[in-house]
Amino acid sequence: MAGMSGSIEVCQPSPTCAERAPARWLALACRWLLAVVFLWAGLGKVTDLPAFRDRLLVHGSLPTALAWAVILVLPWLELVCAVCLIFGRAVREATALLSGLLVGFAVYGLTLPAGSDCGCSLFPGEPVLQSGWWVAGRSLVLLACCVPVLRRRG
Amino acid sequence: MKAANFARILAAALLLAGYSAWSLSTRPPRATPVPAGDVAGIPLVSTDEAGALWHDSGTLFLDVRPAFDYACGHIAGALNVPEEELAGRLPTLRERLGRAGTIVVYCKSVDCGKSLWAAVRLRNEGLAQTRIYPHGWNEWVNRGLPTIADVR
Repeated sequence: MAGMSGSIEVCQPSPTCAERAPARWLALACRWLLAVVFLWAGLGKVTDLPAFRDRLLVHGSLPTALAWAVILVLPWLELVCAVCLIFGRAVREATALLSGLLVGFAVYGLTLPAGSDCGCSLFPGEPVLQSGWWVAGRSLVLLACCVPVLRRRG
Repeated sequence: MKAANFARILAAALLLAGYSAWSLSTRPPRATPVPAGDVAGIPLVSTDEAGALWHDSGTLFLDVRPAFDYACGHIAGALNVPEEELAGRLPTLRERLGRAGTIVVYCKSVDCGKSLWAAVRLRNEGLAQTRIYPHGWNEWVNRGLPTIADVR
C-alpha cells in the first residue's frame, strides 16, 4: 500500500502520494535556505569575534552576562545547526534550535525601545545598525521556513 | 526528535564556544589613536577622525541633543541622552558606556556647548575614553556620512 513501506520506490501513484511531493520539495528548499542563512551568519561572526563582541556589548542593550553568553555560544550554535542541515543529520533538532533562536531575535527586535538602533546584524558586510522592526520581520519570515522542515519526518 | 541529538548539537556549540573565549582573551586590545587638540583635557576629533571611529565596532557615539532632534535624524548607531538628562541617567548607563573603547560625544554644531559639558561629566565619571566631535550633526550630514531617522 502506498506509504506503508516508507520507500519512495514503492509509492503507488495516488492522490495522497502526489500531495506529498510539493510538501517534500518545500521542506527541502526551506532546509537549504535556513542552512545557507545561518552558515553565512555564523561564519560572519566567528571570523571577526571582536567586532561581534563590540556590536553586542557597546551597541546592544543586553545585560552583560547574557551578552557574553550570546557572544560565545551563538555563532557556533548557528554554524553547527547549519552543518546539520547541510548534511541532513539531526535536521529536526537543528531546526528546532534555530526556531528558538529566531523567536529570541524577533522578541529582541520587537522590544527595543523607540529611538535605539539595533546593533544586531545577522550577516557580514551588511549595515551593522538596523531597526528592530526589520530584525523582527526577518526573523518571523525565517521562522515560517522552519515549519515545513519541522513537519517532515525523516 | 531525539534528546541525544539536541545534546550533541549543544555540546558541540559549547565546546567551540570555549575556543571563542580563549580567542577573545588572548587578543591584544586595539589601540585607539589619540587625536591632536583638546578642550579641558578632552580630545577633539575631526569629521574624518569621527568617520574612521564610526567604523570601529568598539566606538559609541553619544548624541546629547533633545530627543526630538535625535528622532528627526542622528548619526547611525548613536545613543541619545539629552544633556539635561545625562546626570540622572548616568548611573544606569555607566556600565554600557564603560564597555566602549571610545565614546564620541556630539551635539548640533560648533556653536552648541552641550557636547563639551556632557564630555566633561563623562570624564569626571572616569570615562577617559571620551572624545568630543565639535562639528556635530550638521557637519556629519553635510559630509554625507551614515545617518538614521527614527521612523517609528
